[in-house]
This record gives sequence, structure tokens and C-alpha cells, in this order.
Amino acid sequence: MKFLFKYLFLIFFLFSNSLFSLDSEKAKSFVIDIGNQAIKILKIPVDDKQKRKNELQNLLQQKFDMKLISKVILGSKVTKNASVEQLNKFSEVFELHIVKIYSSQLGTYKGQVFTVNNTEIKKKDAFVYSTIESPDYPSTNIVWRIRERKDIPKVIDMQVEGVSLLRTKKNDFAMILDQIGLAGLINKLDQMNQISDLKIPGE
Amino acid sequence: MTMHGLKVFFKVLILVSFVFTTNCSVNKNNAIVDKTPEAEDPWENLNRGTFAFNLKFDKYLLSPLAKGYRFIFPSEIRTGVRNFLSNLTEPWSSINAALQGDFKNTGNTIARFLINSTLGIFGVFDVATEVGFEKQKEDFGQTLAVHGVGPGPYLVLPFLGPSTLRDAMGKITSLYADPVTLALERNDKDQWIWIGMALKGVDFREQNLEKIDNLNATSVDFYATLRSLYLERRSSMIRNQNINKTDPFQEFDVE
Repeated sequence: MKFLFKYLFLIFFLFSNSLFSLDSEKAKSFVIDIGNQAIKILKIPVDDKQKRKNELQNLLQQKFDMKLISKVILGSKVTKNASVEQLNKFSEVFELHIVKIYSSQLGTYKGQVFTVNNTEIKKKDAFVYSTIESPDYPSTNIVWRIRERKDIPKVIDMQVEGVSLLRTKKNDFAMILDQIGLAGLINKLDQMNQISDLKIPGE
Repeated sequence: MTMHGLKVFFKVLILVSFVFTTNCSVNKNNAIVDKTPEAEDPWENLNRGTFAFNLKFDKYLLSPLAKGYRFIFPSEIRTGVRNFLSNLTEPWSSINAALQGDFKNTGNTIARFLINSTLGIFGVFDVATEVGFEKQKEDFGQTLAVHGVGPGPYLVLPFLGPSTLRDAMGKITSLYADPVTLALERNDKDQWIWIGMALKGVDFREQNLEKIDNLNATSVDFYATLRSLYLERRSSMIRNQNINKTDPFQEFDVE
């Protein structure tokens, strides 16, 4: 019996990495897919801002774990004291907030080429290193942090030229959370989501 | 460099080295582990005041100038001006790359300067990038960081914007040690140092007109957003964001 347990433990130990970590090829093709979808969004004419926003929202919903990102941005102290309704509401307004940011920052298609360079597995996450090259602008490095959620890979953070989306938004919200709490932040984001569409670079 | 310039340079260097604790090092993979993103902001009230001043300066002077610059000059001219100014930073980049022990980039920056100053007609055309010598800017703040000087407190400089005490010291040092600055000073052409700085500011704003305005419009706390962006971007520059070497998320982990 003891031998059997030892044997099972050994097998478990040997294969635990592959059980819990995301396959690098899977992560790579997942990011390539995101890149292709993003290029499609860039190609949508800037006049059709609503279509750009809809496509971007679809991309976020399909490929990003917005629930987890929202929770991490709020931090454990805030999430513990918040109701489920509040967290869901925050998740909803935050998603629209991200759509607002990226639909205005994405720019237009000017021959950009998206390339995935390599993938690194660290603990349970895959880090996929990619580059956007453009004939008009210096190349942009993006690192995608991917985690498998219920067997489906999801982006849990992205780092553009060394700047993490998660950390930036966490810092952006820190003071208002401290001063007027989650309800205040939700109201503020709700108001900001109502402002008219912003000018897109290259428009 | 004059004797006086040298003295000031070394004084600043020694002061900076002693003032800050060492919190940047090289790990076992030979990758630079930098803690700039964790820089504290003990002078936040003062910084927010300076930031508010900078926003007014931007609203009433810098942004209109940048819009005018875009309106008057075609993109080819603007790119030429940008390349020319950028080429003048190569000698200082080269010195800093050497001080960092990065001899590959030292060679790269020297090659860039020689190619662009000649074939690129005084740097107006960036021929070097076309032939494979990509730009990698290095400054004295980065050099200090590579040698273990921590960022010190976060600092917002009037007109110049986000910085840290270490990077601000780096900027001051460049005024006394950058070969191009020294050459202009020696020839009594100091005004060109300030004209160049102002032009760089206008050009940067022009390149980022929509991006900065949109960032402002989509930030709950624009001050905190810019602080975060600056510190992370700076860290990425210090680590030379080599995709094979960099520890991308450093000690920041998703809960």
C-alpha cells in the first residue's frame, strides 16, 4: 500500500507541472488569434466608432478574464467588503471603461504586422512576448500574461512597452477608492463612460 | 569638459550614490532587476501642485504650440527635426552605454552617430535604423540605476514632468557632461541648449497629442496614471527590455 502511494505521489510530482501549467504552443496560438482580431479592428474605418467599440468589447469578453482583472485591480481589501452586485456592476463599468480607453488609443491600420516571438511558462501563467511592427512608427513590444481558466486560456494582464495595464489601472483607482470607496469609483467610471467618443490618433 | 564641469559631475555622482539605498541589482541570469516601479511618493502634495501647474502650462502653451507645429509643418519636416535632435543625443547615449558596461550598445550608438551625421545629412535622415542600427537611448539616470542607485522619491519637475530624484540628478549631470551641450557652451551658444530642449518638448507633445489627451480623458486620477506609466516605462528602459532577459512582471503578482 505504502509503495502504491509513493508511486502515485512520484507520478503526480513528475507530471504536476504539465497538469497545472499552460501549454506554450496553445498560449502562442491564442495570442496570435488576439493579434489577428486586433488588426481587424484597426482596419475598421475610424468613422465607424461604434463598430470598433463593439468588436473590441467582443475581444475583451472572449479573450480576457475581466472578472479576475477587476478583482485584482480593486484589491482583496475592497473585494472582501463589497457585495456581489457591486462587484458585478464594477466589472461591467470597468469593461466599458477599458473599451473606451483602447478604442481611442488603438489608432488606425497603417501596415502594422503582429509577430509572436517566444513564450515563457512561469508557475501557472504563460508569458507571451510579441511585437507590433509598423512602417511609420517604432516597433512596440507587448507581453501577454495568460492563465488557463476552466481549461480556457484567458489574458489576465498585458504589458505594453513595459507598462502593465493592471498596475496602471490599479494605481489610477487607488486614491478614489481610498477617498470615496467602490460606490464612488463605479459612479465616476459610469460618468466617464458617457463622455463622447475621443479623437483617434491618425483620424 | 572643463575642470569646473568635471568637479560638478563627480560631486553629483558621489552625492547620488550615497543618498540612495541600493535597490537595483543583477540577478543570477545576468538580467537587471530594477525597482523603479516601487518608487515612493512622499512629496505627493508638492508633486500634485507642480503637476497642476504643468497641466496649465500644457493647456495654454505646450499643446497649442504642438498643434500649430503639426498644422504648419508637414510630417516629413517634423520627422527630420526629430531625427536631427535625436542624433545629437547619441554621443551622450554612447558614453552612458559604456558606463553601463554595455559595449554592444556603445558601438551601436557610435555607429548610429557616424552614419546619421554623414549619410543622414547631419542626422536629418535616420539611415542607421534602415541599415540595422536601432536606436536605444541611454541616459545618466539609467546608468545610475544599472549601478545600483535606487530611484529615490518620485518627483514632478516643473515644465519637464514626471521623474525621480535619481533621474532628475541624471538630467542635471547631462547639462555638465553631455558632449554636445559642452560644445555649445564652449562656443557661447548656450541658447541652443534651451531651444533644443523646447523643440524636443513641442515635438514630443505633437507626437502624442491624441494619446495624452485621451489618457487624461480616460483616467480617474491622471496624476497617478502618469506616475505609474513613467515609473514602469523607466524601469523597462533601465532593463533595456530585452525580451529574452527581462523579468516582465518583476515582483508584482496577480493575486
